Amino acid sequence: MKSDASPSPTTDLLRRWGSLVVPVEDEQLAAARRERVVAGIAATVNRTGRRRRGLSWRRRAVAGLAMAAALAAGFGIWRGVVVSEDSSEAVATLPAGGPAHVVKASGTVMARTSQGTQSVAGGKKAELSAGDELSTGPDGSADLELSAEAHVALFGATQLQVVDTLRLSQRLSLRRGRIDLAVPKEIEQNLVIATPGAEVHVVGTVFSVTVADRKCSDEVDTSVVVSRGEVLIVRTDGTSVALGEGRSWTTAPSDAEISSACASAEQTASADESRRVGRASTLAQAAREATPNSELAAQNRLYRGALDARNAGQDARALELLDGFLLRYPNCPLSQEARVQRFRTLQRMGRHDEAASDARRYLADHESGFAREEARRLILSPAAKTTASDR
Amino acid sequence: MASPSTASIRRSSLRVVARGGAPAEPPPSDEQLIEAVQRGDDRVSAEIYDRLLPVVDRTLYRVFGRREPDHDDLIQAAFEQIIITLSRQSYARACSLRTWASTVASHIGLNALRGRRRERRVLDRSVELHGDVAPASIDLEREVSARAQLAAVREQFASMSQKRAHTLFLHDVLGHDLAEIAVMTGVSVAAAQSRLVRGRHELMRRLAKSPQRPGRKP
Repeated sequence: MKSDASPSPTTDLLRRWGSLVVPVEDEQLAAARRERVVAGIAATVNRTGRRRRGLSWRRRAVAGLAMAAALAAGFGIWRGVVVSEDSSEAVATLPAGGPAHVVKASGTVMARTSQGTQSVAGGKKAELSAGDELSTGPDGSADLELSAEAHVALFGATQLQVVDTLRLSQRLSLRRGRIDLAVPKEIEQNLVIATPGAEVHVVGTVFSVTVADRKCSDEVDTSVVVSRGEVLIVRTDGTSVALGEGRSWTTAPSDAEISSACASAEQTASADESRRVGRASTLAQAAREATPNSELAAQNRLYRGALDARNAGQDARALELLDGFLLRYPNCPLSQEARVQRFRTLQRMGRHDEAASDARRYLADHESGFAREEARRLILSPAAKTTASDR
Repeated sequence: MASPSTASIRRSSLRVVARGGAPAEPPPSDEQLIEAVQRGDDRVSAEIYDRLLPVVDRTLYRVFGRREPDHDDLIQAAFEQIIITLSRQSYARACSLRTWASTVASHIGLNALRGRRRERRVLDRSVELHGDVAPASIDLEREVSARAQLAAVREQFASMSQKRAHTLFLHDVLGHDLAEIAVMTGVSVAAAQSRLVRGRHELMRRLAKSPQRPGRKP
């Protein structure tokens, strides 16, 4: 897309700048430079490759050590959890080691671990390792302290699982209910709260996350309210939103949409039909989430979601998002890029004939497009030819 | 006309050559090069250089209007930056590798231009920058005037907001479209457009105030 501003003398001057003819270089000088720069490139590739391999090794080592620690903790410390029917508030002191500790519990609080399901209360220590789950009844509440002094308060009727307890990365999964978190700013860990509809990445803040059933629907909604600091919310489609102080975010539809959904649910009792339109409503929801303040921002967001899915290795998801994008914005400035991404994605998925067809259509519409060479190569590739002749 | 003996000598010097030969390997695709870099496979270094040098060289040449004494160093820096971004997966693969290379090179070039401007505050190198050819004819005078205008524009680019200058350079000088620029610089298309419009206004405002503004006689 070119800007539609009328050409001014300055713009003309800039165009002239861009059309400067670049003189040919002296061959000997160019050859000497080639040798030097190629060696430099090789050194950089090696260096960055080593760093990546080193990081990967370190991550695996940290994960292994953390897992060993968690196993030891699971065998050794969990024996301290005592079953109690006492519904009064209970306070436990923080154990010396271990990833997450229940420091306060009142009412009905249950912990499900590798040892089985037990009630938590009565001033006894309770430690949660990766895979363990803490649940509160409607009358219950609990405080969980993470190793980095981040505090999680569980409200009634809440179900929370500790997914990862690595030293540098902790991950909790909220399935139902509400939690409030207070995380010191100087925390060095990467703390993530996963819900059925989103992931909340925590960076020094106080906030709450709620997962609740949606009215007249089988779906659950995630809501986030930030009291202090900022969190980053990553939706399941890969798009993200930063939420600042005093702001809230939810996957729930508007009241009007809920009312209309309830009304239609009453009118149409057929569950099969609801299931049939389920996919359409998901796409509509994705589109609604992308409903923009400005159309350009929405296009960019949707496209970025597809790229994020691709970068995460979710080709099927990326393809779905690219299809949605091209359906919704067939003539927007990013449509050319989206079409290129689509045939690349198909190619990666092994759907060579479809990729070649897409590439052909791309070439027909963008004869001098930036990916013309790649499209030509794809059309002429043996895989595409084979699949075309097989049909 | 060749004598029989000469003809036989020529005939005997002909050799039978095996027909054809293995077809030339197709060059690796951008994707393959990127994956090799991410694996730490340095065998693709020469291929990356040969593929991207024209665009890197052209971009740097356009930033300065000539090959500066440290042109080779800038090329080296640009390639290093390209490899680092590929390795860290900062390159979103939403544009071609060449387009990405031109973005990185323009960034490196504009930063160097900015650095040179700071340096000139201490060492006056304006003579070097604005051309030093005495006009001997009308054509040459026009040429020198055009060079001076471009030098004035470069001078203002060096002192403009970095993001605006980069967007303006990518769009108006290198001819990338806004959607590409948005993807390459990691902003929305609306933000890229805003930077472009503001960049143009800033440049025009600066040129109007500049003593060497285009069209003004020295």
